[in-house]
Amino acid sequence: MQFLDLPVEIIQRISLSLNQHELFQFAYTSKALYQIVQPRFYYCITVDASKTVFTNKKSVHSQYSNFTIVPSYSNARGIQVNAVNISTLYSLKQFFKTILEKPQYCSFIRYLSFHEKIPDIPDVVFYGYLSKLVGRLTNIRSFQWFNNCYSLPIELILKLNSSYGLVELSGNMNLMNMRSDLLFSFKELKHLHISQFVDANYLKELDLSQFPFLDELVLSKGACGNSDFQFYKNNDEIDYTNIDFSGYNDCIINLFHGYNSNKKLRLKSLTFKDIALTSEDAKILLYNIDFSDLRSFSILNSVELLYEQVDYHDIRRRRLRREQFLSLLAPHVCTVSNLNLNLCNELNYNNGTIGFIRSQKNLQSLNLILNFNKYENLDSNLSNVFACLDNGYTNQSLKFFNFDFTVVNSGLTTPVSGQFNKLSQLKYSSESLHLLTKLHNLNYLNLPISEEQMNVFMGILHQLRTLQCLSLNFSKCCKKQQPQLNSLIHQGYFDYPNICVEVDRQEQAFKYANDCQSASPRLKWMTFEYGNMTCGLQNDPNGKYIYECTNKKHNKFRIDQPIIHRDVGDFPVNNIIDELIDWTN
Amino acid sequence: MSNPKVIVISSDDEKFPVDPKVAEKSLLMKNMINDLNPDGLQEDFEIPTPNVRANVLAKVLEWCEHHKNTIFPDDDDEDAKKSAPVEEWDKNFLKVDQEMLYEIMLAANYLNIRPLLDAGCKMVAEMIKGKSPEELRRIFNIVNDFSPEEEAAIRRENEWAEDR
Repeated sequence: MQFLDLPVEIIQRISLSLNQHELFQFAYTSKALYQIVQPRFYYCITVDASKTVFTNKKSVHSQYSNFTIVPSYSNARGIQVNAVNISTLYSLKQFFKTILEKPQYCSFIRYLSFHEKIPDIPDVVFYGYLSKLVGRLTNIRSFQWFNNCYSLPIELILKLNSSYGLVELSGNMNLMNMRSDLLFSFKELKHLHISQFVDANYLKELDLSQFPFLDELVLSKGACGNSDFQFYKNNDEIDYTNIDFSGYNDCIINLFHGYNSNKKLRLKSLTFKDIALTSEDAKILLYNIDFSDLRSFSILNSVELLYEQVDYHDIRRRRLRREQFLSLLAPHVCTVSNLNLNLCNELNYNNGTIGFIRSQKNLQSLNLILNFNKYENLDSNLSNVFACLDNGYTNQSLKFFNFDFTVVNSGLTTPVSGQFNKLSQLKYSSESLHLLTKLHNLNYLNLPISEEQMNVFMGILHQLRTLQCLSLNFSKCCKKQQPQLNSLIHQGYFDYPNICVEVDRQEQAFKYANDCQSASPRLKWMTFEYGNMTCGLQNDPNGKYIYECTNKKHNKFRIDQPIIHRDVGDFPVNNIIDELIDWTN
Repeated sequence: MSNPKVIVISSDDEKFPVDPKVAEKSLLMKNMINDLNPDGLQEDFEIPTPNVRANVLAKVLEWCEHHKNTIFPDDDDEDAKKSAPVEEWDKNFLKVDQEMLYEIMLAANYLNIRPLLDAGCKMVAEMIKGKSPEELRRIFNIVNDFSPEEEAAIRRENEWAEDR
């Protein structure tokens, strides 16, 4: 039996797992194969001009060598498909020309994605090509637009109406020209992602009852990139007292303004990003959404407005709302497996969030970023957080825990009798760290900690028996060197001694890696992040040290070097994290 | 009384008695068993597989036996976003000559054993990786029937996808 005797569908299935280069080499072998494989060229196309595509090409670990460099998509059968990427202006123009000359190829396109960075093409030309192309995409299933230099005109989205099977519509959509007579009618749509909608009022025109099968909804006021929701991290310190949230609130009330179906939306995944929420919004959500199927729930970079009257000129005239957004949702949203919370408020009052996590019954992955007041007892706050994971359910189910916090200089609270949190003195009491050992199935842990506390942490590490990937963040407690602003001497002079510091740190990190590994033999990957201590030094990519343990029985590395230092540049940490998140989902 | 078995019969009439649990890795056999025995299996049940030779069937059933307790993500389940990388065991299992590999894939396709078919596809994709068209022709015994002009034409047409 010969290769070409295999049925066409099997050969096409093989071609789905080839990457771009291999795919074309494979197709050029013979006419028969070319015929079979050609539709696959157009099956899944990304337009991405970012450079990282090329620097990531080296793969390190054999298990991850089949990771795709360009984002991959799954078709209905759950097989991974490598996208064909267009990265240069020339390629993009050639692509448009080829496909417009041979319109029959348009019907091959199933997935089309424009990333944050696309080739620098004049917008008139670009829109000209696009408007011709979009109307012909009769079989498209997923259309993504994450670029925000070119906004996606509403007319183009409407042209997609010719395709009946559209399942996903995502990206930065400028809803400015949205009118009520323009109707999106994608009956099959399952995944709707609206970012950068400019003004909450435009959401009124969007009728969610048009999408009866919707199960994934993302709403973001800010522009989004295609990788924004995979792994969320935020280190900025924000002061909420002076921010005006008008324009960020009322998103949800407007979104459900036109929702008049008598059936509640059954969502599997719900994400809000960059918006302001109130307890009123929670009531609207509960009224319109059936949360019983919800598996993934994310609130990212958002603010809850605790006060009813938003009058920033006179704080005394504001009235506190009776309920919090998350405490209203908690009784109804309790079977989420994937939870990402970064919801803060003016008072840095976290009981709503903590209560919400405590009510979860099937939590597997938790990304949590909190704000604490500078003048409150940090350790009692932290132990509150860890204690809410010990609710009888989460300590069995949680596999992925990524925790970070910011200590905020809130203008609304005043110091209480000398309680003062200096960040450089971040301390967990051993009791609060001990609460983590109650998580019996934890695979991934990311924690900010100070170096002084490493011995306390080591004390609990051997009890985290299932841990595979550990990431410790020392950067919170490092003293940051201030730039010498009023000096004629070049900044590099002051930075220079830090090269010695870096060598020191590397040795120190290696020592930690060894210690951690011997304390918990199942550990496979470790990351120690020192943050950018040097203020101007270039060769310090976030001061991050990554180690991989290889003294496992299935290793292919040298035994004499059980722990290998990995360069940040070529090690697919994010891939590993994605993989770990995937296990949990 | 011993548990009833499923007897799978190859094209050359060899009989393979297996546990129903093993046979049910094949969706085809699973549906057959469930449709023809709505009250559950009472006695031995024969399933002929007229397109699968005995040595191939033995291999396929060995795979099913090894994976009888593995739970694969559901075919229609869209949540199974990524298919898992090929397992070490599967890799070694599929280290056979090309002809056998293709026959296993064909059998997996016919018997509707999606994970085995996927593993096979990935093995073939592995073989394709990093090879030029000439090398691929040699490996897969393919004759180049492109004239130089035709080849130039298709290369020009696909210029947009060239990774540069």
